Amino acid sequence: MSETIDLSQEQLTMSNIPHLRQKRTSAWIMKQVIIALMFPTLGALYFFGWRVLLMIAVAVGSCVLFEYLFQKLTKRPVRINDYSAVVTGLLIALSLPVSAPLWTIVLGSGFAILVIKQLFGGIGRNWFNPAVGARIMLSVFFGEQVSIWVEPGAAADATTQATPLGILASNGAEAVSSATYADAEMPALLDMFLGTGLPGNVGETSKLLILIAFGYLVVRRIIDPHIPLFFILPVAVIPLVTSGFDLAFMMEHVLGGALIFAAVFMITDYSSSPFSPLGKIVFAIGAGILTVLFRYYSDYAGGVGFAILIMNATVPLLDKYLQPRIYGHKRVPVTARILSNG
Amino acid sequence: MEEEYYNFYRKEVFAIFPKLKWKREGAYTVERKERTEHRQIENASVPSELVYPLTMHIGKPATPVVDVGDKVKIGTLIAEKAEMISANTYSSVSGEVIEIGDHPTIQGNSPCIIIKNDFQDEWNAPLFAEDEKLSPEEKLEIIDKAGIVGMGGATFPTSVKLSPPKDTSVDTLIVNGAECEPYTTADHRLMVEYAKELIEGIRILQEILPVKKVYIAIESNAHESVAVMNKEIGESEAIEVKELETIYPQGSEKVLIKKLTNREVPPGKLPADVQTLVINVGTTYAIYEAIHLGKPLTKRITTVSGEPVKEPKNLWVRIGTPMESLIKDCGGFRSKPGKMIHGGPMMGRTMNSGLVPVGKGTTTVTFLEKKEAEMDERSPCIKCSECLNVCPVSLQPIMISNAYEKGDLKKAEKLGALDCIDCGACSYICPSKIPILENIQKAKREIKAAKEGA
Repeated sequence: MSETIDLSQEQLTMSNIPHLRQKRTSAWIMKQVIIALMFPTLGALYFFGWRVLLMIAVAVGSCVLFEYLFQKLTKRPVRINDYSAVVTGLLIALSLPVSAPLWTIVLGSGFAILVIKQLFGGIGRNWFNPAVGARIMLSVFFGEQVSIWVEPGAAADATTQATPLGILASNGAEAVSSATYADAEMPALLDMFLGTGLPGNVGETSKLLILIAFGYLVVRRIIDPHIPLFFILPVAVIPLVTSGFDLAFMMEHVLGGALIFAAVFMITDYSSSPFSPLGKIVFAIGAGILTVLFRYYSDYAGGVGFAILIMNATVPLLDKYLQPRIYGHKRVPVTARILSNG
Repeated sequence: MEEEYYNFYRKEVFAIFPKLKWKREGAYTVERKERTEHRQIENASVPSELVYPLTMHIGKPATPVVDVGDKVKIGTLIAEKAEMISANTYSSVSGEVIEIGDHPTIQGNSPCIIIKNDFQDEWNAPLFAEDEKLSPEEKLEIIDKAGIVGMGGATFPTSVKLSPPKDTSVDTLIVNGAECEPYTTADHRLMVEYAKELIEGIRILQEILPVKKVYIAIESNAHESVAVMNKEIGESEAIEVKELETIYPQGSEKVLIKKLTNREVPPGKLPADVQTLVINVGTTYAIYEAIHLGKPLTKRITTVSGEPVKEPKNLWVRIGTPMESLIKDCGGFRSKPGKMIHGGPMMGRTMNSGLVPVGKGTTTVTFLEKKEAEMDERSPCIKCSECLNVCPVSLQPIMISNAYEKGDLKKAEKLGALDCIDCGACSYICPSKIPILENIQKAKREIKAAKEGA
């Protein structure tokens, strides 16, 4: 026998199971989203220049500040170190055009953090996606200021350019069923994918960079890989069918506007999407269908955002009626759940 | 060469899948088996005093049948099963009973028989006469007499499990070698080193329960044992090794039944109600020893592991050996331990006394370092829904936890709190470090208490 081991001398802690925990924390998850957002951020800097940096600084700064002030004033624990306000700030900055006045960014950030996030109870409790809410609020009340899309590289006072979706919309109802869009000046699909020479919101133009961010988030196990696909699916299939299987028309819908950006960063938001796996799928498909409807029947430019906000409002219902079937139990049909009210 | 290919695929190619986020009814926990998985089982040293709790099984405590001063041998009955659900307890050394009274155990201080070892290692007479030919019914009786209980940790009396209700007909037997707890390698080593004996054990089980199919369930990280068992089975059609994904809690009874037979045990029912029975490999070995060698259950394999342990080992341990003795066998500590766990780190129980003895269900003794023993501070739920993704019985763990914290037991029950199998995968993955399982367990206790009170 070697040295004597007296276990009573060791300070052995007693605890409840499980005694081991995974290393990742909520703050780590938010940091991963920030890392992923660096891809579209770099693209925005490349395409739209240094003003993007200023926009991001203002958005992130005001989001964090508003969150800090709110938590201080209401005497709640200050949780700005969970990085969620940084994510919101980045999303707001990246979903605005480079011409957006700085005060709109501050206003949007305040709305996102104070009204949508904190008044609902803070992180994990907000029904609506803060960044989407801010973007919609700005486009509804300050549409003139936040809807001037300039071509990358052009000076801020250059002539306003129509975005590809604007062209799709201004071609009116015919575009829904036929391919008359061709005589308007649609950018080449490759430009729409890469973001080269494409006017739009600074972070949303390069689909390639957003897809790289998607890959990063999937590999890091931050987002469900299939949910963005279910969102994009109706936006691809419905135009494909209504246009008589015109692939180019379909791709213009898929690559146009905020769709891909929202698919990766908005639809996958934790707080404002359902818990239940089936609910998540219905949520994503629903938002996709609504996006198409907005694009077809409204000339409002924020269809994706509105679609997401509407689906955000259905989350409590989806969670209630689409609960997973528990092991060993029979599946309760949705109709039965609705009839029994729960 | 084959092993290299296998490891390449497992570690490099398929490594992507654990990283995808969707519902997969289990968690990819740390495995940490590499320090013991290739270590041959050694005999643990036998201490001078051994402690036999009267509750090394589920059910009624056994009744002592010896008095202080009595001489015993290895295999002498020292406590007798009290009721239907209870189990015999045998001495694992020869010597003298020196005390019957309270002593630290995993259930806190509880009644134990303490025997002083005379180091003569004399054996008592076997459980039955050597040349006796046994009928299946007699074999079942001997399993009962030998004090065998579920050795994967559950410690339910095996003879009771092997006598399912008359109106059920079991057609599938699952021999559970899926060790999903981190660090644990006892069952893996048993399969690698005692494959022949295990197959003999399975044959006995087949006689007692004429099933159509026997599955040996093994996790993919115990690949070596898959090969060994397959070689030993040879051409048998009735026995099949099933290599399962390494995911926690793969070895849980309900989970295994679903993965292997696609049957689900309804709430409040037994595996036998879906024509299935699950027996641990350690239990199967004990059955072999009882029927072929006439030996009652007096020893088991226990893995002693964890970062602080200097030389982690798989040990043949005499039941009744205190933890202190095991850690000496493993060369002591190389860093300060912060937690000593009876079992694995996922479902084991923490202990704070080295005097606690190894019982019939001690699969592992895990030591965790101080920094790992500390829990991070809790933060608000961010609704990542990972707890729903990992729950093996498809509950919505955080919603039950929230309902409990709001005092809404009714909602907790409606959400299926009583269906929880206590695996703790939800608490393990929670990035906000919410004690989800703890809340569900409290909810369960309160719901049950309210029902009994009503």
